[in-house]
Amino acid sequence: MRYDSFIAGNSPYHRFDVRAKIIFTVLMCVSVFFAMPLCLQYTLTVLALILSLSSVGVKTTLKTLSLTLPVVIFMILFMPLQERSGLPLVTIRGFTLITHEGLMTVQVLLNRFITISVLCTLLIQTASSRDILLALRFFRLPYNASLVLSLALRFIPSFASTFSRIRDSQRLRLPNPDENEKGKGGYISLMPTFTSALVVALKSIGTTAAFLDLRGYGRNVKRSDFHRLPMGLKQFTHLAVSVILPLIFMVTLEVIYG
Amino acid sequence: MLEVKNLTFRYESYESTSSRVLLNNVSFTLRKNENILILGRPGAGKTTLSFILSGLTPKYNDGELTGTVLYDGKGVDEELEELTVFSLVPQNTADSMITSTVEEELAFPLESLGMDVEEMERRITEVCSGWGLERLRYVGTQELSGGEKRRLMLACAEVTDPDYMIYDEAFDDLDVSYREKLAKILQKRERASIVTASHFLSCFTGLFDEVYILDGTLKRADSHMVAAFSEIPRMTFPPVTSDDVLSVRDLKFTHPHRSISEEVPFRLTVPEFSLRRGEVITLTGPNGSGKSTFSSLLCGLYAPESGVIACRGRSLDRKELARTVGYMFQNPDWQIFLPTVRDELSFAYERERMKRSETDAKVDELTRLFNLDPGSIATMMSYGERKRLQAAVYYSLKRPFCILDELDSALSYDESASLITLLAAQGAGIILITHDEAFARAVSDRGYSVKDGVVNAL
Repeated sequence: MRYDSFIAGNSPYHRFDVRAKIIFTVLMCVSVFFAMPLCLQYTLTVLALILSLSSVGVKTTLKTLSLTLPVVIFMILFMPLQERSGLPLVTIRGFTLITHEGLMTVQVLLNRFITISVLCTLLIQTASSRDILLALRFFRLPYNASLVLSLALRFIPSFASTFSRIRDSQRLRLPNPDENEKGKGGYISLMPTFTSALVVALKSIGTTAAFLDLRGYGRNVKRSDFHRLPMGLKQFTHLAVSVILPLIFMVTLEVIYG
Repeated sequence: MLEVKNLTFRYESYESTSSRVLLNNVSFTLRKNENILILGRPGAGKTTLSFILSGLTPKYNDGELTGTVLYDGKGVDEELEELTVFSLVPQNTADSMITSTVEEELAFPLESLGMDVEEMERRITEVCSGWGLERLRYVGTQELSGGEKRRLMLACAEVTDPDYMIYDEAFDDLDVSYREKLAKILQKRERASIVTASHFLSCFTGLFDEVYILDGTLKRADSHMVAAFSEIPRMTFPPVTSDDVLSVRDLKFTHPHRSISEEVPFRLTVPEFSLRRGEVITLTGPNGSGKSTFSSLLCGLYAPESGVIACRGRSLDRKELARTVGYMFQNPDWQIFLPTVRDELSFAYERERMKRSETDAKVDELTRLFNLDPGSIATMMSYGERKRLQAAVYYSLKRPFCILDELDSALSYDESASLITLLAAQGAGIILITHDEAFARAVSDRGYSVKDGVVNAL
């Protein structure tokens, strides 16, 4: 199963125009860097999570969060050690481990990281790669750049899927497929899976390039577009909302806390 | 007319690999509305020839090519640019897809031609209908089954309406109904077609104006030579003596597509299934009917929603299933990751902490049984050799039951039969997934079929 690509749905965020969604995501990601009290940072994180829960459900949201977990743990463990000036909270034999300021900084950074991760993942989960590319081309991204992105959007989930299939198939060829869980330690290493996935990926590069050629990429004829994003009152409203709401939020933050 | 003259090709050699001349002075002609069949053992160079005829080799695969390929008097590079002269249906479908959904994949070459939207819509609808892809039109390409991917590639090749079609082992992965459909298309002779294949299928009869055998050189085949590609060797399996039975009762599993909202998601139901240890049975069914899903459930990769999978009367959980049922995936590259054949074969024994001398003896036995060179670099061997290596790995694991997913696809009947016989001789209960009816009949008179998500005894 893959959790990093489009999941069809009928939630309001799914129906939100993809261009508006991109603008909203970018502006909200910028807004988390504005000065604001910690409680507001937490509120933003909670709102991002509510948006995710209402759009893609509990299981997928938890999966998104679990993917951020290694970074979150790393930040919790090591960030306080970097910020050791200020009011000491935990001190061992005169060595300050955690300060009030350090703890605050970690919380701010964690909230920013989780909010950005959830919103960006949600964009990919609620908009098909085709629509994202059409939106980027609407924003005047050159065709070649959008094709590179298209391939990336096709290959990242494909590679993730291949990786998980390879991991499964290699687990099945072990004398005891559960041996890692029994603490024997042999299959903890992901190197075999990486090796096979890398071989499969490397082999696919030449084939993909060949088939781009075979399907007419790089011809002198001007390409046509099978799909275009609609532009009506509904889409205009979505775009307006996606710009106005984050802007009001950012201006307010700047006026009060800036 | 397609004229191929004195084609000689060898791949660029790398350190520790030898480079033999794969195609030696290959010449043939293909007139408009003619069909030719090129039969060849795995590794004989059928895919390489298809890529050369499509102008993709040596452009994208380093090698030394001499000779000419002319479509209606023009060079292949020039005609590749045209996009409507020839199309290729590749053997490797997974790496040949460049976009994210079925519809985008079909639209891509038409967009390259600068076609207007109405014409694109008409053509896409037509090929989708022709290859049963209507329901899958907005589905992600990564969510398609092997057969569905093949149908997409066929639709993709047809959508530009080319004059020449190159079908590289295109019958593989297709279920019986789509094999018949492809045969009917060839029978109409609306365009010139080259088909490559590892075996002569029953539906090939009467389709081709000329049959060739590729084995370094290209020779016209007589009936005796063709027979060598259609005869399925007699397989004898040891009598079933074990009482161990893998049984399934009232199994249910839902497996929806992620990329589209479905009112009725795909659901697999298995009312009853049994396989005795030492027995060889077949699992057949249309593309996308649920064969791989059922296999994944049997070896514990997926957890069923309800129902029981049991052995010796005891229900097995997913971990126990993974130890009991081996699943030999269709793609051998997924299960090969060590440098040499010896490393691959000794891997399981070393993990069982077997003595070095015993491991060496076991590896020697396996290389002899499966006709492998222990010093060969695993990932650089031919497809047939990699399949043999994969089978040898499963042989060494001694799983009580084993699923062979389309083992016969792209392997000769001889090779497929010898691998099944070896695995069966060890006493494993075997499920062979295949689309080849003749081969299925030769393997076993007992089997199951999956249709519309329901597994039933044949």
